[in-house]
Amino acid sequence: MAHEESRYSRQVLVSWIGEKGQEAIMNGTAVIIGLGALGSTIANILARSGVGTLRLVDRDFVDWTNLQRQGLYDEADARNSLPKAVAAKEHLVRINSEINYEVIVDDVNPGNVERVVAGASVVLDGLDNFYTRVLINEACVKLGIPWIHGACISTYGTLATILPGDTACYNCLFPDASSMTSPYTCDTVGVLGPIAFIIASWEASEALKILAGRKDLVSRKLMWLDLWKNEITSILTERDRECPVCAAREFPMLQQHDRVMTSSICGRNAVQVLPDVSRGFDFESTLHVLSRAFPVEFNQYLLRIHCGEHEIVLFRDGRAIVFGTSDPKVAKSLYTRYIGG
Amino acid sequence: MDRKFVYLDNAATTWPKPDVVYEAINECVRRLGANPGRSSHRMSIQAEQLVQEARLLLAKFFNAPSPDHVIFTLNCTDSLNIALKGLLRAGKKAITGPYEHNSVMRPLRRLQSAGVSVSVARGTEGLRVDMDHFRELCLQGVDVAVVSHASNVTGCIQPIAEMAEVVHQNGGILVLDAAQTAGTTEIDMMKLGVDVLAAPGHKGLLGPMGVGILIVGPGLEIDPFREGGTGFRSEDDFQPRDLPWGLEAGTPNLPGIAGLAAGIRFIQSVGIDSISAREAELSRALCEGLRNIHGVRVFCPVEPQNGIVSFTIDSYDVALAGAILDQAFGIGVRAGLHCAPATHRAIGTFPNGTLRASFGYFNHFGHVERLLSAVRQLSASN
Ligand SMILES: Cc1ncc(COP(=O)(O)O)c(C=O)c1O
Ligand SMILES: [Zn+2]
Repeated sequence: MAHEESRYSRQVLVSWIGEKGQEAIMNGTAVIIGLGALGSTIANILARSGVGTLRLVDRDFVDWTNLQRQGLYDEADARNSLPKAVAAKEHLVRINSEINYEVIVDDVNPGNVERVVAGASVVLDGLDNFYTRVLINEACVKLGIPWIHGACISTYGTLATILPGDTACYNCLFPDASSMTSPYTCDTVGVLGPIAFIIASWEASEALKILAGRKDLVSRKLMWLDLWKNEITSILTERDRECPVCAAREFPMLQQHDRVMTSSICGRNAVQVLPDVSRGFDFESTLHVLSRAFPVEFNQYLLRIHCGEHEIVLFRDGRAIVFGTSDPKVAKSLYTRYIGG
Repeated sequence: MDRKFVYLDNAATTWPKPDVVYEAINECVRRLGANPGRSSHRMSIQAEQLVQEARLLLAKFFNAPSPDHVIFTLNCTDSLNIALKGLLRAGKKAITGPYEHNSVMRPLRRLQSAGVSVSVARGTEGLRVDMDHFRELCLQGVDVAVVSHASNVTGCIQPIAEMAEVVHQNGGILVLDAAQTAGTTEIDMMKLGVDVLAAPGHKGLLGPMGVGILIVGPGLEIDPFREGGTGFRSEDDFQPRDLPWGLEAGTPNLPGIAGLAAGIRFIQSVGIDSISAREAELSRALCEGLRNIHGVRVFCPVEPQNGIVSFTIDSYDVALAGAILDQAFGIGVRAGLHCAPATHRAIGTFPNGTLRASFGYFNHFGHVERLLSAVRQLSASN
């Protein structure tokens, strides 16, 4: 290559990276699961950093509400409803054509999560729901792959780096996550662009440490940051000696059927979404949150919201029928975005 | 209110099954665990005896030409595929009715693209095949006519004997899809003039899922699409033509066959007439009740003939109403097209479909009341 100076020279100059660290980065594989606000920024940073292989995973398609904070996409992607993983790769190739990209347009579930993360040096969380994080945690702990949990909503965000067998795992931190749903999502209570960029950058930085062979430098705390209140908090985390995942290595969720099942409705452009809300579904608070964000129609049996060309009808027990699609992936994604995940 | 779940989806598969069916399956798996007709040891022979007895039972039950013509399959879809794909090839003429299930329509459409001519008879206001049109189509030539005995959407029973006569006069054979009648409506193959009968074991015959039957009339050649071990004429590299082996390659579903046989014995002990009468009575009560609810439309013959009732509620989308009946009222009905889009086109409920309640022998008037009360509340709520 006839570059005057290596494109990575400024990064190599950072003392804890150096030539050796850069070489390790260029031989590494990062898997980014979820390519929304967090994932697209993470992908942008890691592509520019020269990570050898980026595996881009998302089930969703670009829409107009994404453009405000999902830094990789543009109006043409939204107009064409491109799959996020495909659109992301197209933009990233123009940023760095010298690295490998693998694109997976699919839902992450117990049947494929181990394949999705296999071979990774590090896995990064760009997700919008608890359940998929639980799956990623189990798969990464099982296969010994470090992963970085990041999440943000409204004006705040959180981060934790998980080194299997060393730091607390996601289940140690959030033991109830597998049975939680929360109606507070970016699509119901909103999210500020900057918090997403900050959390994403933070995740990417943790990933670069791991990729460069400096696991010793990662955060061993659960970090919390609120931009509106100017607050940063951190909690030292501890492994749960009885954690079914990282201590007993039982991996319960990897062995269960997908927690969010769907069934197509015979003859209709509609999909039924059947989440297993084992702790009961909080219809009232979902109704409350949704009705502050959207015009909601409801009666004693159901509530109905319109989102773009789709319509979601939610029943009291948490199941929903998504009209306007026959694709279970789209229905699950809309459910996660509007009803919670 | 009794919160126990009310199962009203017996047209999809019957539930519960009689206790004797559960017992027969259990007994078979525990004590007759050998492969029937393959080995000469005693357990294999006992297993083979069970299969033979079941064939005999079925042959008598449907007045079939011979027990050897009773073929065990996976389900009714499998039976129909074996029959249609084994009877029809390029240049042949097939005729079907307006109220068919996808397990008839899809094989026919596929065969059509391979050169089989396929004609579809029209229906009448009364939810029956238009016999004048059917006759007209037969006069233009017919090799195979395939029709459902009763629609799985409306429950309406078709004039099979009359159709068989017309088909035979024109040199064709009649294949009957008895998915919704086997076990709940008397079927005498000879009397009706049915040449090939396809039926599921898991619906009205009260067996478990995973077993179906195909009964082939005398002198008919059905080309098998599945070939393999039969435990019969093993020295030959080619699949034998002799029935039942010709159409039954591979190890059969012995526990399924045991359960099916027990189901049929149960039906015989109760009497098929009293099963028919009971299901029709429940349907009659439901139809009457539904017709009195404002904004509810019923799609069912004037006099219900079996346990199937389709309806819609004006104020609710079918899919939503189905979900509400389940989650707010604990009632399981089926919503949508019921795999029979052609029927919904014919009765004007395409593409939304209908709600379908379907009764089995174990339903009672209390269940009808539960459903009626739920529909009343629903139609008043929106
Ligand atoms: C009229 C009709 N034909 C065929 C079938 C297919 O039966 P099976 O599910 O046993 O394949 C059904 C089942 O719903 C049916 O109602
Ligand atoms: Zn743990």
